[in-house]
Amino acid sequence: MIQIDQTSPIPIYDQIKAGLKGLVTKGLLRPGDQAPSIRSLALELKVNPNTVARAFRELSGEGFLESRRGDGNYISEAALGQAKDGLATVRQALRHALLGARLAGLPWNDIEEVVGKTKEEQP
Amino acid sequence: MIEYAKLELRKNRVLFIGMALTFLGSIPFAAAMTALNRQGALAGFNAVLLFWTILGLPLIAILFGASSGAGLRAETAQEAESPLPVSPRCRAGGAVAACLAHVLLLGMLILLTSAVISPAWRETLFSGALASTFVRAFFTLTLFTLATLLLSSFIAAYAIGQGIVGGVLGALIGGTAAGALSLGLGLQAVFEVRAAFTTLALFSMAVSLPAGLFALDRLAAWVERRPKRGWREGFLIALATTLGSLAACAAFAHAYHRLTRSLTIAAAGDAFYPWISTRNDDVLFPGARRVSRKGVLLHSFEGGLIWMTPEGDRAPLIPARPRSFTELLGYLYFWDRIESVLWDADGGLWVLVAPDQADPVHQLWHGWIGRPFSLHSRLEGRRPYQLVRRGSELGMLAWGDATEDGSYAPIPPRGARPRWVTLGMKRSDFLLRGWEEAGLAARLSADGRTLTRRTPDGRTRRWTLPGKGPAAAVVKPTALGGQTLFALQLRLKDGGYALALCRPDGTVTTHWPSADGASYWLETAPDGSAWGWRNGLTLHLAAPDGALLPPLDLEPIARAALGEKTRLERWGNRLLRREAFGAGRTLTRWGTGAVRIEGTRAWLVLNHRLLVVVDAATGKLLSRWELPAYSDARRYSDTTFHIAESGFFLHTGRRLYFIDWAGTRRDLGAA
Amino acid sequence: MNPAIVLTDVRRSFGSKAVLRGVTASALPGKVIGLLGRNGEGKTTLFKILLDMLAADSGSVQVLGQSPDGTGSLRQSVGYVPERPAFHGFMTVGEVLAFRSSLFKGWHAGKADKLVQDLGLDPATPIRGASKGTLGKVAWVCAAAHDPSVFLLDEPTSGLDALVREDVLNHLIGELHDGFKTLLIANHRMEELAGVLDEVWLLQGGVIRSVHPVETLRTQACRLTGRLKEGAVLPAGLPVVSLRTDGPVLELVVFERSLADMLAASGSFESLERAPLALGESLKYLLRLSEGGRHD
Repeated sequence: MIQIDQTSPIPIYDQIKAGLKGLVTKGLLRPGDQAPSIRSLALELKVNPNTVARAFRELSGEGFLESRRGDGNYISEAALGQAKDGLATVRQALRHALLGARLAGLPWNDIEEVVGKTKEEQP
Repeated sequence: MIEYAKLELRKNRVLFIGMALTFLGSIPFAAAMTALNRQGALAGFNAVLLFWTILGLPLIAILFGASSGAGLRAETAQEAESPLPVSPRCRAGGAVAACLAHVLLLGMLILLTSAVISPAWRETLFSGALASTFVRAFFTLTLFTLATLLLSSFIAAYAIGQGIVGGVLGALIGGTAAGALSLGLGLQAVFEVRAAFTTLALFSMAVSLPAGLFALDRLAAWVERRPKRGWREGFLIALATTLGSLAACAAFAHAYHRLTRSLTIAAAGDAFYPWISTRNDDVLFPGARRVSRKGVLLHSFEGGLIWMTPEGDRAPLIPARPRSFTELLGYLYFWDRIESVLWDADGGLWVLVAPDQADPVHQLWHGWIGRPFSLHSRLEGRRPYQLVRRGSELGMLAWGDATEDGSYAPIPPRGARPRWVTLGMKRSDFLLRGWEEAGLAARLSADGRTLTRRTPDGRTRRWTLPGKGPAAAVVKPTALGGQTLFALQLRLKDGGYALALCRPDGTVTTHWPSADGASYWLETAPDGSAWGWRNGLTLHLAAPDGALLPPLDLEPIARAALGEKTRLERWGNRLLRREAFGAGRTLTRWGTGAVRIEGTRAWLVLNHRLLVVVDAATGKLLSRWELPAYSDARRYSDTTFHIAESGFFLHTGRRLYFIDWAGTRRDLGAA
Repeated sequence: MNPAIVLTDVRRSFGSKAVLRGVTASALPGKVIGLLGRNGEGKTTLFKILLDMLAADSGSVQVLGQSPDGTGSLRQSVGYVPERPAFHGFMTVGEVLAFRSSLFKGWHAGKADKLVQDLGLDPATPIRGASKGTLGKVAWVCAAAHDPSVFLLDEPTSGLDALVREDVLNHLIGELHDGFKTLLIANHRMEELAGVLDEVWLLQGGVIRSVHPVETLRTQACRLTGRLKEGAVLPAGLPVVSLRTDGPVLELVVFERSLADMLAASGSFESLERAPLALGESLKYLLRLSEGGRHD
């Protein structure tokens, strides 16, 4: 369902969080759906279940997931809004990075080159 | 450990089955071989069973031990087994246990097969098997040998990681232990000398297996986890592995050392006379008696002759010639270098020395106590075995060859060769004839009523007997009360019996009449007294001064001496001592006899255990002392006692004692 | 919380060759640790000492509070997959497991059966002639069936085909999910396990040279490319790996952000470019630390 990039410097649990949020944004998971179990997600992604558990803990803390009747995690009602909010944060981070690059003296051509490359990798 | 042992059993399954099939297959094979050879199948069975028992089973033990020990070190085994939660001790111990189980199973297979197919083995093993101490010892030794061969081979192969070398080492270690104990057992069985061998042997067996297991434990811990250990650990393991063998060698060395140090009383004269070495001939010659009663002649295992006084002082007479162990093995039956000794009338001593590697011919030595002995002659031509007195001359009896009886030669002059004559008749008859011809013995007439003695100068002395003596018998003289006379048994007119004394002055006196068929055979003790058994219950005693004491009933004396706890009863004309479980032991002639008589008091040795002083006139027990215990084997040996002037020497098989007439015991040392 | 594994100044030499020269490290319960080191550095020796299969010359070892006492009872609570799994050739798979069940006190027959089924093992397969994949699976069942709380895995996936590797990895993750399990893994292709590891111990020169939390490596390891100023010299003995030392351009692998920041701020460089390093790469470069890879 979600993908993580082992070569990326982004922590795995962050990638998992972002991936789950992405699923909600894309509409593949709706509020009220049961989230994938820690075990199945760990097996699928080949990561430590503790890492998955941490991601779920943080998502629960943020209100994205809620545990119901002690039998698993469910997408909360507020999840959609959170995902969208999450995207807003990502947009801001991207703007920030671009400004920083410009300030550092990176020419627009180079910036566009980077964008193009990334697009190739992650269509 | 059990689980691991089961694994090892599985691993060795092929070897086990292979050995079992080899054994079972060898039986018909051997039978076929002997049948083809016209010896019959049974001979084949016995031969193959003998092979498997003596050689095959030990080899099996080595094989299993070595292959299992080396197998434990194999890389494949280590890789598969070291991750298991089994301690090195359990691993090694389980392997040994499995081996042992396999070997014992094969042993039982061999045992049962022998019982089934061979009647000879059935008899040896099962009927009376455990009764004989020898079979018991053999069985114990066999079990021990198998266990020690297995364990040593295992340890060696495990230590080195190599099966063949390990097996050879194990065979050496185990074989040494088994060999030393077998040899020691053999020495103990063959020779009468008692060493503490049994104790040492049991100790070495008891110590060998735990020490081996200890070595295995240390070795396993070292081999598996390889902690840093120095040469000290290796030395300790090697020592523990070989401890049993070392102890067994020490046990054997002790038995051998004890044997080579042993001293035996040299019984002087001929060996026809029972028990107490009274040697009547001595008594007739006061010159000999004076000297022989001052001490005891002892010959050592190493072949020397020693004179010992009651105080324990030793004087070597003839030097020993120590024999090497290999020389000894060549003469496995008891072989004394000092074969025979004989006192001469003048107090000198003749000694017959057996041949050995130094001189292949018998030697005759002569000397006096207190003066050096020297070689008198070399005795060529025959193999003499005993020095005897034949009337007035001293001579030697020798073995004949296949065609003739035996020979005799008088002692030759110094340096001369002996002149042998064939006996041509029984030894006793030949010797008596010599006594007769010398005029020292007398002959009874055909009707047994007249005793005639002819001296060489032609004079005749006749006695007319008041009864019948043994017809045509030759009677040797006896010394009693300072007189040389003839003592013989007479059957009287009224059907009873009596002792007749035919004195030098021509008179005949009769004594100790008895209605039953009493025996009047008299032994003389060195002090000049004489005694004999009338029947199994009564002793006849004669004092040195010639006084004949009233017959002595032993029963009250035995009761008084042996105490309340011993149950005695008369049984016919025997006195029985009741033992546990209804068995009865006779207070027999072997074990009871007189050693000294003074006035009416008699010193008797009673039932092998006690020295008692009895007043023969009243029949009362005056004193009682216990004698040092001596082994059963010595009870019937004529080298157990030697009576001297002031007491008697007693050889218990372990030590030599001197017991004086006051019952005081002096320990003269190990013998 | 008491550490599950404690090593204090453990030393071991074979003859004159000193393999472990004072290994000190500890692992908290529940942690997954990768033991990183080149061939022959002593990884297997360390495992054997931890398993009481080899005696340490000096130093102390504790696994779940137990010290190796020479009896091997420690192995009851540890799951071990050796580098070359070996079993008795005359047994079948089923017999191997039955034999182990009689020795391990905590053996769960139900778990063993389930593992056998999941991994697709046939209990009737004889060990002699079995494929490497089969042996690897059997090794895993033997390691996991008695429910140990510590696993020591020495190259658990080496020689196994991709599918078997995935099976083993899945079961490993399953074990982690089941409870507080501590894992110490030596794997040549450590990147394979990158998602599972918490920490990496670098075994080099007979000691644990450094301990790196995997998250730190993932987020902070970077490649620095720059040009040194005229006459500037870098301090010696820095824990960095030089990729290029000839010419004016320096390429360094730095494993911690703080050090990268320090180098950037040191003013020794005319220009410095920082690029994040993938975890697999940084694990590879770690091996080159202090092997002539240091900048000095």
